[in-house]
Amino acid sequence: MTDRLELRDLLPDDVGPDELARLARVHELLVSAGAPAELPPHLESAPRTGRTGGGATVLPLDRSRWRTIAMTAAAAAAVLFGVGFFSGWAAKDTGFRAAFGPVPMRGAGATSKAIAEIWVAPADKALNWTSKLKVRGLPELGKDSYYALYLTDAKTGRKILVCTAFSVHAGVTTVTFNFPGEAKDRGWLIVSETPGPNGTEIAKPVLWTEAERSSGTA
Amino acid sequence: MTATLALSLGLPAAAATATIPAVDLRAATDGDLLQRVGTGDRDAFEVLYRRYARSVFGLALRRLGDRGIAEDAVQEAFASVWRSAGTYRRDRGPGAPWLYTVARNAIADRGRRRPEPVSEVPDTPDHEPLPGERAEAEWVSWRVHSALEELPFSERQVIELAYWGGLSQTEVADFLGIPLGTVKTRTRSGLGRLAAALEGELE
Repeated sequence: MTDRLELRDLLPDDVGPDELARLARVHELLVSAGAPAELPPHLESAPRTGRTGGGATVLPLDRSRWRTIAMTAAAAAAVLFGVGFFSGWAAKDTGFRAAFGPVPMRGAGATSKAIAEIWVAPADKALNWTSKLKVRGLPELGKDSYYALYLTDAKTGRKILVCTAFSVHAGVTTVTFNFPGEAKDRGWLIVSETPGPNGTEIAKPVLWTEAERSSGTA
Repeated sequence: MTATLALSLGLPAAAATATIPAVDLRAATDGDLLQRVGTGDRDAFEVLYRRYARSVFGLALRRLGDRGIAEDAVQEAFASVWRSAGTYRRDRGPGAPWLYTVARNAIADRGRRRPEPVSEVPDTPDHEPLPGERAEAEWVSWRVHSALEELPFSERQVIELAYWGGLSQTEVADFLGIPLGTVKTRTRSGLGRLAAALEGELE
């Protein structure tokens, strides 16, 4: 990855030699620093702080940022994308009735031939959206590696929370997951997570929904 | 995880906030934010957390090598920042090195509390970097990752996808649904901002 990166390929053609030399030093620092750690969703907000009289305040970890989202009134407004490449949820998929879907996902480059769809069942009273992911064409990953499905903000592309982690097999892999809260303006992103140096993980986007794809303009 | 976060007292009186002029917290320097945190300013703490959480987590991962323990260490490091920000003195230097020291100490404390594995005598030479080299590498990573957090999201996104997402510029453009030229322009702008932010490291 980074050892193959040619700085010149990353920049517009009109970058002059002085600027290139300046940026080359940054490039070297980025390569030597390695990938920044990916914060788990429950660490994306600061820990709650406070104090009580006369002693230490003991607070639980703030690992439930999504719960605030779940309190928001939601109305599912996902766009239907026509007939999917899978057969949908036929009689054999008893116990799961999709409220909307399929929401297609697609990739690029090495995963351009992989495809996936998401189907979402009606939310319960607490705004839990039980959902199913069907995916095929992703390569099987090695030991200690896995795919992670993230719910994203369709407007900004930012990850909101991780829905599930999974591995794949040849053929169609089906994964059941849940996401809480608002369903409007949401997208999904699948990343492959493989071990990097020093306990880090390398997260590479492999499949995404159309909403996610357009988020780069944010 | 069942870890809890302990925050002790000793913060300066809230009235002290009146002496600090209002600023846009997102544009505030680390030193500004630390001064505000020292007076119990929760909003400043939140901004500081967003600015440094990934860097602290990365440092904890490198030091502790365990994601679960590293996650707890992040919480403890920021608890330590909250607790001791009142001792930060601007005239002794900028905020980033102070934060780094506090975080590093909190992470080291967390590392000391976990059980030591039974050690075995290695039968091969140790190729790990020397302590000084490791400290230098950790500091550079800290600075680079902290500076990345300060970039506009659109610029940080293209840099992270290219450097660590394994995507070519064409794939980044396809992923984001934007022209290749825009990807390159954002990369140029982002690297330029990083160069300005990391001037000390570029000497």
